[in-house]
Amino acid sequence: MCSVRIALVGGLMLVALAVGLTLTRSPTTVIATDGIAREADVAATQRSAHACQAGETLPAGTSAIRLTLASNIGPTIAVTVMAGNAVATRGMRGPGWTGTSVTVPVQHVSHTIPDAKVCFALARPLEIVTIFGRNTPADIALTSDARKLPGRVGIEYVRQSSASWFSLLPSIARQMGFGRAWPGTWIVFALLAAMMSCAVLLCRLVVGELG
Amino acid sequence: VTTRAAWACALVAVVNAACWSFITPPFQITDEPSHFAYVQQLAETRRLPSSPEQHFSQEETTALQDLEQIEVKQSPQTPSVFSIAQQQRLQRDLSTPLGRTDGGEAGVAASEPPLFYALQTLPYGLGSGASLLVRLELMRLLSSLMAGLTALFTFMFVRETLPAARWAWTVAGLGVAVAPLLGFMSGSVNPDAMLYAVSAALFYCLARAFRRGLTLRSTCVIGAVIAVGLLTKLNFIGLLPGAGVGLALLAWRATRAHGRVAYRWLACGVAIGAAPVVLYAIVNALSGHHTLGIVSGASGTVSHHGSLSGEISYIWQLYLPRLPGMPHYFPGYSTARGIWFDGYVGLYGWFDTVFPGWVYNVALAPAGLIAVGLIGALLADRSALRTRLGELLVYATICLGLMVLVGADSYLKFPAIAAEYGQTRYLLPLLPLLGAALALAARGAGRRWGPIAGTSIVVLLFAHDLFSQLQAIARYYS
Repeated sequence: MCSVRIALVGGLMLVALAVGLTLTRSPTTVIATDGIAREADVAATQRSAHACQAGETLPAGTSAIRLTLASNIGPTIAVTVMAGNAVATRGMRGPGWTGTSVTVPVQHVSHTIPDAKVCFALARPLEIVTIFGRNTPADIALTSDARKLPGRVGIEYVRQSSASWFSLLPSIARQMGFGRAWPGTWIVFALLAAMMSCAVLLCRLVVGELG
Repeated sequence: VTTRAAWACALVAVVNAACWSFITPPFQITDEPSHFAYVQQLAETRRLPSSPEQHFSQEETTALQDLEQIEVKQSPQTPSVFSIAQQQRLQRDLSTPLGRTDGGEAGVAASEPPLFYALQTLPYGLGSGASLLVRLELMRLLSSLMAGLTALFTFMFVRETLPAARWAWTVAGLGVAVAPLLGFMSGSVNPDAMLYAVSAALFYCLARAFRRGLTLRSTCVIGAVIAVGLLTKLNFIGLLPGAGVGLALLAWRATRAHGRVAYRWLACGVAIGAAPVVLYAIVNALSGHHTLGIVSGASGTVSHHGSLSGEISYIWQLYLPRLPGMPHYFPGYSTARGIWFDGYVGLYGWFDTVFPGWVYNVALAPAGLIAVGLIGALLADRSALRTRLGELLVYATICLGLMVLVGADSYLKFPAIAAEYGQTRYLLPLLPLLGAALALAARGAGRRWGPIAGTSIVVLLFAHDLFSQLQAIARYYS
């Protein structure tokens, strides 16, 4: 009985500590985009592929680059950003990403780099990978193996925010109240109360049945 | 006391799923717009959806537009409704009299059987005077109740399969109750929520019959559960081979005590289980429609390709590493890890809400410990396992049936889509087995340490749930 209680209390304290630590960390935030909305399928491939998009501005502080590529089981993707002939930053993401965009962590960019060229290389995919973006004139379009694709891909530049999760709690709470059946920040308190009741019930059960 | 513990586990599951239902923004769960459209069509017109197209009612289309559902779904950095102006527009638009009967189509949900949707017309009707978002939330809350049934039947299943380890039942019940994927799916309008509950009921009924012997009543109950399952979601078909083997085995055993009358019970059970499908086919045949309605049409549009051996290889590799001689279907990719394990650890929303990559690596450690505990318990109880081989065979057949169904369906879309139905939620009908595995893993720690291991497992899974909810909150509201 006693050891079960110790395990329970110890475990819950660890969980509380982990939540607290998480709240002191910062979320990632989008600092700039190339302004390309997802309006069209620019290309699709089921083979390994390489493409580059010129005329990008890489903002200072970038730690990840997000591309509007879609796949259920995405292939390994390597991103290289060129400033002239020099590599400004690069990064890689392993296979298995899923969804309608992929975020590739890159080496930290210390200063803004104008007129950069963002290149990405896809390893041979298990299934079709679709490149989303907007159809554009050929002179500014994405280039793949010296061939112009019909448009540009959506790119977002991401970095770690300076604000902690903890400092963002009020705005998150306010936002949780929007778009609801019964709008208002009451929902945050209701959720907290519900999860606390869950925890209390769980503790009582564990102590009563396992103790 | 045991019954109280079972109901308490159910309550935890209901509250947890209800929390998920409030955390996830409207229509930001896989296929929820289609499932809502089905319910609306049924509630407003008393007719089933006529086509799998995505033409929804004016009211739902307006809600989806005002909620910027597509934009939020497609961009991980796009939060849910984020300004007072957006909120006001949403409220204003939804308070105007918008068409509710001008859709008639239910997207991917159209081919599903109607029982879940028929039940959902109750909360829909209850909120018919309120806005669409109120109706949606009420429907989500009904789904949450189904999570409670899943946890309840899991508890009772483990009670029947491990009768000597009373404390371990609670580990199983709570382990399933706080499973984040169960909460996430049951906090939405999706027939999966009911499928999990019905599947858990099937496991419980079979386990009870194996422990206490088959009777006419238990056969009829199993038949009724099968009928409900078939009326809930087509995926239940995957559980049928196992259920059939179970009923046959139980009837064969019952002949020792009751003679050949047991086969008549079996016939009763099969008749009850098959009744809805037979009735549906007869009604369709008499009214000049396809025998299986819209399902027949859907199955006619998919083309079969490749060889049988190719299909078997594909299904094998969808779950397990490739064997020598098999063609490479997933080169350089571990499906067991990437699709099923990582999918269980955390993949929410429209497959866009994930943990940072390192979380999936760290999760391997506790999962490995649980696996070690499970293997230890199985080895320690191997003599007891031998006496229950028949029962184990039935559970294994249920697993296999479901996995083959998911694999075979995915193979139809291969290679354009590598694993169309490679989503962990499709395996959640096997949650009672997960509950039993958790209970056994705790028991594997021995008599002295078992309850402590059980406590640690429950706390760990609760933490998993909590962080999954925080991840979803971060995704949609930060």
